[in-house]
Order: sequence, then structure tokens, then C-alpha cells
Amino acid sequence: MDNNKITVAVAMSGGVDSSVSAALMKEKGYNVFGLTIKTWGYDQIPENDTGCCSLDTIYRAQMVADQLGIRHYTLDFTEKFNEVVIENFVSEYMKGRTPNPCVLCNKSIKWGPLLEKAQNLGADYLVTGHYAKIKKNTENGRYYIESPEDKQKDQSYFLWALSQSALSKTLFPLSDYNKPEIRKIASTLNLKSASTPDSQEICFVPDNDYTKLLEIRIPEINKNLEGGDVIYKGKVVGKHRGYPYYTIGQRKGLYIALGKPVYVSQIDARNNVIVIDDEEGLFSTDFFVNNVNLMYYEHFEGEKELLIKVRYKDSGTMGTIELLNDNRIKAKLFSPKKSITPGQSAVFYEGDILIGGGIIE
Amino acid sequence: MNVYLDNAATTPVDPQVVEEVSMYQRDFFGNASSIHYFGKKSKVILEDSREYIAEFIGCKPKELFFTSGGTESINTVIKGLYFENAKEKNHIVTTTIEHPAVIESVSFLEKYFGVEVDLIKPNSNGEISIEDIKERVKENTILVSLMHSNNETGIINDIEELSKCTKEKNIPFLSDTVQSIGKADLKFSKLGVDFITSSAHKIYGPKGIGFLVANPKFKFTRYSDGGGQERELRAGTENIPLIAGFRKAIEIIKLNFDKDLEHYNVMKGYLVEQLHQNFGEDAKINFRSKRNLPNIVNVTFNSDKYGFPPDMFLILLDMQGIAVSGGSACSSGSLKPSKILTEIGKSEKEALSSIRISIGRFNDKNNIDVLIKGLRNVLRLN
Repeated sequence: MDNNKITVAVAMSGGVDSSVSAALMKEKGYNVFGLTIKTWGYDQIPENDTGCCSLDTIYRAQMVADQLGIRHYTLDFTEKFNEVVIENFVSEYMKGRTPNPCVLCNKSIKWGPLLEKAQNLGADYLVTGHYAKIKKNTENGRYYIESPEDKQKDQSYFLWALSQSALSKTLFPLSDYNKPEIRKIASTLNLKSASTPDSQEICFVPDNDYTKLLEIRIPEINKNLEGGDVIYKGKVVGKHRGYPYYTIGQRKGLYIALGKPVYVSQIDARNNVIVIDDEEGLFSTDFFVNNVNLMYYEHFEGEKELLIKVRYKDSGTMGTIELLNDNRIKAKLFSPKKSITPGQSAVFYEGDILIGGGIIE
Repeated sequence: MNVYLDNAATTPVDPQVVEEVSMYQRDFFGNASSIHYFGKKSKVILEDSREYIAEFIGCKPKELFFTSGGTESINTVIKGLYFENAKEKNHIVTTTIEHPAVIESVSFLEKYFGVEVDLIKPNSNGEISIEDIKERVKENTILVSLMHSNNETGIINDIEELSKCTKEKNIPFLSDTVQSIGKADLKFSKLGVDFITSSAHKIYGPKGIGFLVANPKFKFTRYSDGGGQERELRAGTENIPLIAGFRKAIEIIKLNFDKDLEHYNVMKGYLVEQLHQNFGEDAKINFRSKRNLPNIVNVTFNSDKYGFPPDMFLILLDMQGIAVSGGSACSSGSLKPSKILTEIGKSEKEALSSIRISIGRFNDKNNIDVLIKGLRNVLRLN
């Protein structure tokens, strides 16, 4: 089919990656329009300028669309985003876990209602500026994600939860480029977003401090939870500010003097207890994963040896996974890994191929 | 091709006005307050324009103040009247279907100064009962505010009837006339109200200029402090080029009023006929009342039958090159369902399946044909 008969909706954040994605699709002759989702504005917190989906970035997306001569629309997802992503984020912290909202947003917002609206508007595909490849397994016909050319920018980790139907309706035009090339294209085209900084933070968290969001959402959270025990090797060694203020592996801000560095190794939300340990105590090999989504295979038998990443920017550790019957996976690393954190995603790779992923228990 | 049928939001600027504004930008830069030649030139244009527009709208020149437009005029009256009379009076009667400048100004006074506000709701046809307003008027009422015509429904209110009551009780009456000027034969002196407003950009003039006409009987605290312009009621150097452009827009209306009306009526008739021919009962025309603006058609489509996603309706139309409006757009450009449609009992889905088509001087039947074709595409009839 000729590209000009294919309509694509580009999810435009106002940043350089999605801007160049739109430009590349237009150059290839597709029928292109842009969409920006408004997610900011639910809490009365100062707008975060660097995050996506703030007013400034919406305006920038509009300007870039105008530069490219494509139509652009803003969709208000404020309520949906709050219900799905922010509430989950807060409740995960309250369960003593460290959530990964970008994974959830991809699955339940971008490849949920955003894809649906794009299709309503006549799009055959949703295009985003993610650095990842989409491929098809010729043996079983399944779509899967692969790491992109630019390993520095590899965003496949955040995409493990996408369904087969979502992947079949998605194009990633940046998969064969590296970031400097994208910046160069943007500046050659003189795009308004050419010099926007890379986003590093969670878009809805004020000042990159999640505890501020918790304090807005759960009034008097610190008052009600402060004073719980801090336990080291079975003994109470101090009191804490409230367990949601801590994350696994945290060293700073413990205010416990044991004459050596200690770290948060466990968060017990039910008993409002923080367990700390020496650095060695943070290392482990075995863990379970739930909410599993497989991509490359529909199913596999026995143990599979592959690379396991337990957080974004983790270069990965070799190990085995075994499918359990309730959509869970048992994972075993060949060498101990520091701070395997409940709530974060574990993502499995064979070479560049993303096999699947899930949430660490 | 893009077709513009959203003239109630703003109008294209008449080419003659564009000429006029740019000529004055170039040749008349003097500050109207200066005593020298350049200043005097500007002053003459200012006062001559005031006289001309005052004559057109049926007020005395000294009753007409140039402002930045409808919103500023409304803010000036509502807040200014309160601040001037706060000690004795603190009650306002208005309606839920007023322009946000009214609603937000009275909410501001309610929130920060404890002013008591009565908001009258429309009936299921979008009409405001004059009797309802009269009943709410009290001893300490400081202001009655009822728009002349509504921007979404096009319904014209019986301002003359209500003004009999406010006159008798000596209560200031503000009528937002922004949508009506140029479409209804309207004279300040005949309406019997005390304040009316205008924005030039609704009548093929430039944005950023408008007027407030104020009955000198009612004092109000000035909007801005400074150089004492506009009889010390609105400080700030007068924008002579925009004022001259405003005057030009009024001049064109004065010359073409009957022709414009005829044009609106013919076009509206054609539009309604085409809607009926193409969609029958599945395009329901809303807000037919005793008196309507000749250029606004508000219509709800049967989204269940046509199966289009209501919340994407306006976007789908824009993709067809058709500019109309529906709900109110917020600053991010995303859409909310029309407040007045939900207020009169339409579901959110029905409200989102509704559009307001507003015809302008520069639209022709061909534009209506493009609209109908685009609607047919979106409703999947082609």
C-alpha cells in the first residue's frame, strides 16, 4: 500500500523525539496528524515544566505540528490518567512498593484510550517517539519489541506490557536512529522542540519528589505513619518518618548511626516497619514476577535462560525464568543483584529480543 | 480547503478594516493626550470615532468608553459598581448562561467579598424567564445582568421588558450585547438598560478593542489607574488605529445592515433546509424561540444512529476542513461539553454530538455545501 493511503496519529509530547517522529512520517509520505494528551492539572500542584503533558509542552507540540503543516489536537485525559496511573502510583507506595508509572501509562493510557481515539479519528497506526523496534516472529506470527540501534536510549524496558493488538497498530520511526541524529534532524528542520532537554522525571511528580505527591493525596500521611520501627538484624535501632518515605536500597536520610553504611532492604507496610541491612544484605538472586505479558513466545515450557533487567538502565543479569500457572514467573539470577525492588518491572531478553516482562513481587 | 463557520467566536477582519487599521498604524502614532500636532491628530480621530459609534448605537458620546473588548467592559461594570456601592448594596441577579466574564466576575465578588449572587437557570429550551429575574430583585440588589443574545443558542432575551422593572426600581442593568450588535437592530436609548458592551472582533473589526456604554446615573469605580484617559475611567494610552478600525467596522455595518441581515437569513434558511434534507429527524435544531439571532444554528446529531464517537466530533469535522464549535475550548485546546446544553438537560453525549454553526458576512452557499458534505463524511453517509 502507498504510504499516502495510510493515516497515522503521532503522539506528540512537545519533545524532540516525538516531533522528529512526526517529521519522519510526513517525509515518508504518510497522512499524518498529531495528538497530545493532557494529563497534568488534576492536583493543584505547580506545573512541572520539564515533564510531558504540561501546558508549555502542549503549546510546543502545537507549534511543531504547525511547522510541519499537520493537524494537531489535544485530548483531555486528566481524569483517566488520574484514575489509572496516579492512583495506582500512590497505592503502590502505600503498599510499600516502588511503582513504575511509565509502564502502566504506556499500557493503559497511550496504548489504551489514546490508541482508541486515534483510531476513531481514522488513524491506521499510532506512532510514538520511543526508541525501540517492533518486529514480527515469522514462526508464530506474534509481534514483539526489540532493542533499538541506540542502546543508550533503549526504551524497550517500558514497553513490555503492550498487547499483541497494540503492537500490531504501532510504528516506531526512531528505531534505526540514535539520539544525536534525531537532534540533528530537529535542528536542520528548525523544529521548535530541537533543544528541549530529555525528560528524566515522572511527569506528574512535583519537583521530582514523589513524597510531595503522597502528602497532597493522603493528608497527614507523615503524622499517621511516623515513628515506626527501623530494624537491623532483628533489633530495633531507631524510628522512621513513615514507610512510604523510603525505597529499597536507600542509604541517605535514614539518620541511623551504626558506624557503617546501611541501606533499606525491606519495607513492611502492614506493620509500618523499615528493615535495614549492610550492603551485602541487599543482594539476592530469586524472585517472583506477576502480571506477566509474553511477546516473542506465546508460551514456553521449562526453564529459559536469558538476560533479566530489574530496572530501567539496568544492563541486565543472566538467569533463568520459569512460567508458573497463574500468570506469574519464577526468576533466578546466576549472580546476585542489588536491590531487586517490588513494584518495579522485570523484563526478559534474548539478545535484543524482548521476550516479555512482569512486575516484581 | 478550510471553511470558517464559527463567526460567533470571532469574525474575519473586513479587508476595508485591515486597510484602515494599517493606514492609522502608519500615519497616526501620536499620543492623543499630547498637546502637539501629532497628539491632536490622534485626539481628533479618537473623539470623532466616539461620536460616530455613539450615534450608531444610540447613546451620547460621553457615555461611550473604549475598552479592550467585551470581557473588560463586563469586568469594569460588575466590579466597579460593587466597589463604588459596597457599603449599602451587595446582591446581584444574573443567569447561568452569561458569558464567563459575567459568571467569573460575580463569582469573584461572591468568593472574596461575600456578595450574594442569584443565578437564574434557563428552561429546557434555553430561554430565561424575565419573571424569574424580576422576582429575585431585592432592596439591596446592586446589579441585574442579562445578556442581549446568547452566543450558543442565539436566543434574544426580552431586555426591554426587564428594563421596565429595573428602571422603576432604579437598579443598574447590564446587558452584554456583544453577540447582537450588527445582527439585531439595537439602540442603547431604546433598550432601557444602563450598560451595554461590544467587541469589534465580532463584527469584522480588529481584536483588542471594544466599548462600554454606561448610563452616567450610576457611578462605578474605575478599572485602571493611571493617566486619566476615557474621562478618568480607563487609564492607558488610547489605541487609535484599533479605534479607527472599530469605527470602520461599524461604518460598514451601518451601510450594509439590511443587506447583512438578508444574507444571514438566506444562509440560515439554506443551512436549515440542507440539514433537514440530508439528515431529517437525526439532525435536531435546538433553541428555536420567539426571537433568535439570524446567524446562529445549534444542532444535535443522533450519534447512536450514525455511530460516530461524540467526543471526537469537532476534531473529525476539522479534519474535513470545517471550523464550527461545540463545547467551550479550554486553554490546552481540549474540549468540554457545552455548559448550556448540559444545563438544559442534554446528556454529555448529546451535548458533545451538538455543534454551533455561526454564519458570517463572507460565507456563501458553497460553504454550506462543503459543511454538509463534511458532515456526511463524518456521519459515514457518503
